[in-house]
This record gives sequence, structure tokens and C-alpha cells, in this order.
Amino acid sequence: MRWPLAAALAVAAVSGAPSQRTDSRSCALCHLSWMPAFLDEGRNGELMALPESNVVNSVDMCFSCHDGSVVDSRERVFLQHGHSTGVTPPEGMEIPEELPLDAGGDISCATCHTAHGTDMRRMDMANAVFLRVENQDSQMCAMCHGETMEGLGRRNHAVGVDLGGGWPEALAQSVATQGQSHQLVCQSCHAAHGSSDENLLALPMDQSQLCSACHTGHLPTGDLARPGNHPAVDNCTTCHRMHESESESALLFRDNRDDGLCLFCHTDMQVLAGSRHHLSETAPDLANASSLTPRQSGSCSGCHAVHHARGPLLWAREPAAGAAGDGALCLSCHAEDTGLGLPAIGDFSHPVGVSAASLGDTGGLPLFDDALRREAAGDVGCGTCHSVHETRLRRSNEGDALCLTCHGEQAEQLAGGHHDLGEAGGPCASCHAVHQAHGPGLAARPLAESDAPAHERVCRSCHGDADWPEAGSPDRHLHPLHSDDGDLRCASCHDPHRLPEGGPSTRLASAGDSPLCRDCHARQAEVVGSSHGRSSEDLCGTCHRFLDDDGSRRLFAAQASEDAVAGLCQTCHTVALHSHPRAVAPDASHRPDHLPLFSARGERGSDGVITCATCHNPHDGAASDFLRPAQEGDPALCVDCHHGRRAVAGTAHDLRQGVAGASLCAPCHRAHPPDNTGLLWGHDLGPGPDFVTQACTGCHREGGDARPLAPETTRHPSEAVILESPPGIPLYDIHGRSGGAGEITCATCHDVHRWTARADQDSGGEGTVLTSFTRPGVAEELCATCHGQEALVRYLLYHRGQRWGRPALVPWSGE
Amino acid sequence: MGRELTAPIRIPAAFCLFLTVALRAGAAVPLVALEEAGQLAPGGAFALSMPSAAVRLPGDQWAILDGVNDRIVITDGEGNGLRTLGQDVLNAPLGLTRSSEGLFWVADSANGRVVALSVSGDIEAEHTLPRTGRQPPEPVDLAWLQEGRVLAVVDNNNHCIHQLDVLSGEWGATWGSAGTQLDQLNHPFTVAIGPTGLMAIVDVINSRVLCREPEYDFNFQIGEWGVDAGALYRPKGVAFDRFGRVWVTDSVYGVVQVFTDSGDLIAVAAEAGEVRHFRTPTRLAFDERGRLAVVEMLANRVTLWSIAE
Repeated sequence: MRWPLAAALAVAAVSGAPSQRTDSRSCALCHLSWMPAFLDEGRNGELMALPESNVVNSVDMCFSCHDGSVVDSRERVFLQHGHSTGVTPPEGMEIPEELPLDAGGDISCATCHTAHGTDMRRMDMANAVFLRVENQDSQMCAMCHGETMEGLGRRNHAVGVDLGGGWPEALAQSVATQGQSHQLVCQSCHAAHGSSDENLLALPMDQSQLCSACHTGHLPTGDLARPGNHPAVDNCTTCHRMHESESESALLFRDNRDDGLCLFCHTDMQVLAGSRHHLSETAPDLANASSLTPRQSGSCSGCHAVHHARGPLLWAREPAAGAAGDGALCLSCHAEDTGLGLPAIGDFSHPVGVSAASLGDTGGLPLFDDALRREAAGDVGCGTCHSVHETRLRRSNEGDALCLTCHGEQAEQLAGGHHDLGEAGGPCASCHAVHQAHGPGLAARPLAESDAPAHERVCRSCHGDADWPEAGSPDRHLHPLHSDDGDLRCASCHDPHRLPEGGPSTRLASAGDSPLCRDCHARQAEVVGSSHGRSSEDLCGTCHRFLDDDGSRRLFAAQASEDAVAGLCQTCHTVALHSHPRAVAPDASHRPDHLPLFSARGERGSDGVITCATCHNPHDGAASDFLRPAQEGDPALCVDCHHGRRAVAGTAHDLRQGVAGASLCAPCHRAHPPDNTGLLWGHDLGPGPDFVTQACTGCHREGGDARPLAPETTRHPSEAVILESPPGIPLYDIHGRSGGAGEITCATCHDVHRWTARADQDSGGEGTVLTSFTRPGVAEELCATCHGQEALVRYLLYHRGQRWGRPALVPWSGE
Repeated sequence: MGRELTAPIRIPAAFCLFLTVALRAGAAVPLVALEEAGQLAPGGAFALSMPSAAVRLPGDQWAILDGVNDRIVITDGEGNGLRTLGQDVLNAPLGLTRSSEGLFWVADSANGRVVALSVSGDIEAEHTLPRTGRQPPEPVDLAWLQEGRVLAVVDNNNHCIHQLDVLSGEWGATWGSAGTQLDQLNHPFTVAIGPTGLMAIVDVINSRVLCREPEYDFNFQIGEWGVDAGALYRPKGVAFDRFGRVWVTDSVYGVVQVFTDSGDLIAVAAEAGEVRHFRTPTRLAFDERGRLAVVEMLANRVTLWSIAE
């Protein structure tokens, strides 16, 4: 049941009651004044006085059925907004006779509705609204509101436009309707009853929901976070008038060809007049991205679009790709590739979109947040220096005054200094160009021709240039610089703004305790307090050079050498002749796992050679003998290269004896032995004809540490000297040097760094003469390798000498 | 008007005690004196919008059907809002009653159903009206034929009364059709069941209260079309008091009249000796003290009245 107001009138149709009763009573169901007591007798009733009016125009009478007892219109008609009643039509509005006003000349329900409405002829009671005139295409609305029905030609929102079946879902869910031919009608926006809006709109307008139901690309929200549309101060009607607008263009409430609409609110933009950005005068046909020209839509439209904007600040043009901050907007015109021929900023220009926090006070120059709104803690933008609507700098740059607003501190540092050139009337312009600069740092001078990185070429434009012979050349500097992508450059050590005449040339002092060096080389600063760091005059300069005074390009403060590191060390340290080899490249089996190798110039490199700094870190004052630490898990620094020597750990030759921190190798070897010994031997020597035997008998002899294991015979018979050894069986000279030729000695058969696994199997870990620390295969075929079929005979002679009337060389222990 | 056949008289002899007779302007209109005892018009978030029914609750509380706000508002005896329920499930409800077990039974009109809500607002039962005519069913009121078991449900759109067995959920007999005869209705709106089982149905467009004696299958009407005492124009609400008297509102005349359960006018409700005109009075209810509650829809309130006995 929706609109059965006429249910009462239909009593006759459903009751079959006598027609006379139906005629009189049915009419009086609404026409209260037609009750017989009132109409015929003209008297008051006991329950109600005689009505004053003969017309059915009382809201209470309508409500007596529309309260739910016949139809429930409580909310739609009697609670929500509805067409005005009880008011006199405005002056000038002509009300046709077909739409009667009440006795007082006011609009009433009966002005539009009648129980005898036309729609009853073609609609059932549930759908009839009892209008006096059909209104599906707003015919009845137009009878009074004709002025608002004539479309854009009369500066009203268009009606009669074919929607093409595209009835928006938001409207379909509302009280709005479309015309019989699916065209826009008054009721597409307005509802005579059931609206929650005082203007009888079908949808709310607090967020312009009604407008955006059709104008889907226009969603003003008052929030710049939803880009593309002007933030609605109130809603769309802030700028637009749906009826009787002043402008035919977009139903604006003011014509905007002279920017009148924009300037109505943006009064501070009056300054645009007379500026080069007053585009309606300077570029009237410069179309924006929506093909609108300033001539058509005003100067503002050249840069700003209230709808379908391309970027922040309602930008009307395509922002420049890759540009930061408001630069993306400005560069949409001020770039070489736009073809507009406007001043361009070039490849090197003052940065925008960067924080100004390090500058401190910007002297009132504006900064901007990501949405390009002014923000005290924001970033630098084009608008920081430029007042774009006035086409001028925010303040004069006479004497670089604008620059000094932010960069005053640099100017103070510069004053009277080496770089205070004063060529261009101010301290800045001698070296810097704000736009169209030649290189990094806003270089004002053409960069030097060089293969060096651009930042270095900026310095070279003066330093090293033939026109500036007095300027120091970067070529004299030995400290390496990074590429353009790196961080280390000339200005890392030198502050070009702080170069007082006769004062320090670097940001921090390089002499003394070398704070300049230590600012980067913090780990090397551990040298302080050690024997390598006792100089209070020049901590780093004692060993290192920064300037190439003699053209040698030496990094170290020592005479030229084939091994620059060792050359530096030997400036102070005298190293024994038979020290660990240096200045040699390790073979493949001795490549260090972690220890560094160095070039002849002292630069680290994997293809370098072993030198002092391979094992020593001269800056690690806390380490014993400045030795680099062994890697975790390794028993000694030595095994980083001597990988196979790790095997000695845990054997009988591991002489650390459980002492924590003791070196695995040091009991036998020293890198810098005091004496002229082989094998870098660092232990006692025993008797023997050659160095290897002496090294072994240092322990394996009567009175030695390994006395119980002292062999009675320690050497192969001298008459059995072998000049050439088979593979894997080393021979040694008398100095202990191994090679393919030599004599048989202890280490020929024994690998003192590796315990023999077979010894554990055969003798419970004690081993025998044939298994203890013997090289692989010794037990099975060592003798036969050289002696062939005579091996047995010689063995018996050698080890069973008693049978031949001479003592056995090796005690016999059984058959 | 009145019974056309002999029927048991149920009016207690004491009913005449409250009756006073006032003479006004040469016409004798019997009046029953009312004295205002308060009103239920909660404010703030509990403000009513065109309420249509009120039900007395234990503990000196009232449940008011706040139909346009699609909810039930619970107030204390002073009309202060305590809580609401049903706002998420109801749609333009018009009728309300309560079962002895504490459920609110609502004629959820725009949803075409009867729902039972717990005191916390949960739906405990839901029964969609059967379609019996051309129009979609529209329940507008309901009353207990058998307390806690059988409801009489008014279908305004189809001019009939349905019976609902709330235990089985089955719809029983349907009574009435569109028309003006004594077994017909034209937009019935409210229903009340008297202490003897007499069913009183407000027949809005026929300007009467149609009474039905189910036991004898006998119908008669209270009130007839007219402007004088005892007549009706837009009857809306009907209620039986503890004596079995029939109280009827008329929203256009704004009056409340009292009839015997055989259809004879007893009196017109009055205040200070004058006929009391209410603002669109709709449904009526009585509390345990016999006070009359009048729902004034367009005044957005329920007024409470003590009856001079």
C-alpha cells in the first residue's frame, strides 16, 4: 500500500453500498464540511464545530488517512521536506488556474493534488498520487517553474537530456525519477515529497552527493587528498548555480573569463594582473591539458583546473615527470622540451623538494609539504624564492640578498676568505648559478675538461686551470675520491665556504691528533695510545701522505720501495733476514682466507702480495704485536694461509698444552726468528747432520721434551742418498729447504703436522715407527718406491743388522 | 447502531459510577472526566517521531512504538527514555503488544511481517503474513486472542484479520473482506480483545468499530458516521478497560469516546467539564491502575489520564 489516498473514495467500488449513501458519504470522507449536519443543517456537531472552509485543504485531513491507517506517509510526506504549503507563491510567479491556491492565496496540498486526479484513469490506487496534471515529464512543475525549465540556454541546469539508459544507481536508490523517455526532468533532482533536503533534493548535498551521482568525475570533498577537483568550500553550489546562473559556461555563479569567479574568493590573487603569468593577456591561446585557453576560461585556467586537474594545486597541465615538489608544475612550461620557448631552468638548478631543516630560519620564505601546502617544516620549492602569481622574486637578490636569506651562514664563513671572489656583486654568484648552472653545486663556471667525476671537475674549473695557476690542483691530492655516485668528494674534506686566507684549508685539522682523518677512519683511530700513535704533532701524517709533493704518488711517508707497506714499516722496524717471506704472491694453496694482500703502492687488493700488513694491523694498538686476530675457530693466524697446518691441532705436536690463547704454531715457529734458521724455527735445535733432523731432535733426544720417543737412529744411511724423490716424498737440503732433490731426513717420511689415522687403528693411538706421523703410503711402499726388489734385503740390513754382524739401525721389536 | 440481535450484556453495573452528565449549549453530552496524570515525551536521542502505540510494562515502565524511527522506546513512568530496541530490524512498524513471557510482538508494517523481539532487541520469532488479496499484506496491529498462543493480526491492505498460532508459526483462519457490510472491512487499523473474547476492530474508512463475537459468529458495530456524540469519522484506536468498556479514539475529531460492549455510548472523554480534544489521537492503552494512555501521533507523545470513577 503506497498511495491509496483514494481508498476512501473507492468505498463504492468495493462495498456495493447504495449509491446515494456512497455519493454523499464518500465525498464527505474528505470533504468534512459536506457532512449533512454541516452542509444541510448548518450547525455545529457535538464532537466538532462547523468548519470555516468548504475546501479540502487541511494537512490534518490528509494525515487522517496517511498516518498508516490507510497509507503510511508519515515519513515521506509529513516528516521529511516537501513542497512548500501554507506560503504565498513568490512575486512574479504565475500560478495557472488548474492549480488552485487555498482561500488565503497560499499553496496547499490541494494545489497539486486532488482526489479526482488524472492519474486515477490509468493507475491503480497503490500508485496514483492524485496529481491535478500529469507530471511524469515535469509538465506540472513547468506550469509554475517554467523559468527553470528552459535549460542551458537560460542558464539553468539542462533538462530533457536523454540519459541513454544511464540512470545512475545512486539516483535509482533515491526518490528521484527520470522522464518517460529516460530524459532528465525536474524530479531527477527534486522530490516534491520524501526529500531530506530543504531544497527538495533527491540526494544530500553536504558532500554534493546529488551532483556527483551523474558528474562522477567531480567529487569535491574539501580535501586535497582527493586530487583533481577544487575543494568544495560548501558543495558544488559554492561555484555553480543550477538555476539562473550568471554564466552560461558551466552554470557558474559568476563569469570567469576575467577570473571574476576565482578572484571572488582568492582575492590575494589580484596581484596576477600585470604579471607575465596573467595569461589572458600574455598567452591568451595557451591551451591547458583540457584544451581550455585563458581567453575562454580566464588566466587562472592556464595553470589551474577546478576539475580534472593533473596534479597538486589543481594543476591544469601535465606535470613534468621526475621533477620534485612544485618543480613538476613549473617545469610543465619552463623546460626546454615543452616547445614553448619560455625560460628554462636547465639540468642543474637550485634543488626543490628537499628539506630546509639544516638551513634553520628561512627568513619568512615559504616551504611546502607534499601536497604543496605551506608548511614551516616543509621542503624548498620554486615558490620559496618565486612569487609565481606576481612573476617576481619574493625579494630582491641585489648583492645575493635573496640567497643570503637562507644561506647567510655560508656567506659569513666566506667573507674575506679564499673563495670570496666578489666578482658578481655578491658572495654567491661568483661560483653559483641558481638556474642553468654548468654542473653540481650550481656551478657558475664551465666545468673543466676532464675524465674526472663532475663534482671534481667543478673544482678543477679553477683549481689546476691554467688561468688560475695559483690555485692548488686536485692532482696533488693522494686521497682517492669517489665517482659521481659516491659520497666522497673534494668538499668532503674542504668546505669551499670556509677557506680563510692563511687558515686551515680543511673542514677539520689533519695534523695533531688528525680529527679530519678520524672523522671517516674511526677504526684506524684505535692506534691512538699505542706505539704507533704517540705523535702529538701529526698522528696520521707520521706515516701517511696527503699531497704528492714529489710526483711519486706515494701514499706513505717513506722512501719509494717495491713494497710500500714494508718500506714504511722498515722505516722504524728492522726485520731479521729469515723472517716470513714478504713481497711474494701466495700460490694457490696458500691464498689467505681473510688476511689482506697489498699492492706495491700499499693498496689492498686480492692480487697483491704478502707484506707486513698482511699479518699486522698497524692501527690496532690493542692487539699483541699489532697482529690481526685469528678468525673465529682457527687455532692460529698462520692457518689463514697455511690451511693444511690446521691438522696439527690436537696431535702430539700441538704443544699449547691447553693454555688458553696460546698459539698453535708458536711453540715451533716464529715469523721473525732472531737467528738465521730454516723453517722459521723458533725452538731449540738438537744434534743432527741437517736442519730438519736438528729441529726434530730438539725434542726427540735424550734430555729433550720428547725423550721417550727419541729414535736411536734418526737418519737414513748417508750412502743411500737419493737425488730425486718420487711424488709426495719430499727431500731436504741441509738447511731444511724442501724440494724434489735432496736427502732423506725425518720429514721425508713424517708429516709432523698430521697424525696418521692408521696409527689409531693399529696401535691404539700410540703409533709405531711405521705409522706415527708418517706420510700416506710410507708403511706399505716407501722403501720399495726407491729400492724396488732390494727393499726387503736392505730393510733387513738396515733394521736387522745383528744378523749381519753389525748393529741394527732400528731396534728390532719382533719377528 | 448497537446490537441488532440479543446478546449477553457484559457491562458491569458499576460502570455508571464514573459517568457524569454535563449540559452544554442546550445539548446533553455525557462526559467522563479525565485528569491528566502525566505524559511520555522523552527527549534527546529518545525523542519520538509520530508514535503509534504504547504498552505498559512491569516496573512502572512503558514501551512506545516510535514508528518513523523504526524502533521501540522504553521509558520510565515519568517519560524519561531508558533505552531503545528494534531499530535495526523494524521498518515503519505500526502495532505493538506484549506477551506474558516478556516478548514484544510488533506489526512490522513495511516489512509485511510480525516479529517478536526480546527485551534486548533480538528477533525471537518472525512470521511473514500470507498473501490473501491483490495487495501485498500490511500488518498494522495485533492483539492476543489467546494469551501467548494465538494472535489476531490486522492486514490493512487486504481488509482482513489473520490468526497466527505463534507456537506453531502457522497462520489460521482469515476473517473479513473489503466492503461495508458487517462481515466486511475497509482499511482496518487497530484491534483489541475484550475480557469476554469480544474482538473490536477499528474500521477506519467505514467510520466504525466492528465487533465480532467469535463464539457466536456474530458481528455488530460501535459508532456510526456523524458529527455528534457516539458518532465516528476517523476512528483509530480501540481498547477495553478492566470493566469491559470500549474506548475509541477519532483522529479528526480528536476525541475519545466510551461505549458499552454492546455498542451504546457511555460518554465522551472530557477535561474540566469540556470535551477533551487530543492531537491526532491514535491507539489507547490502560495501565494496572486503570489509567488511560492516549497516543497522540502528531504531538509526538503519549498522555496519561486518571479516570474519575
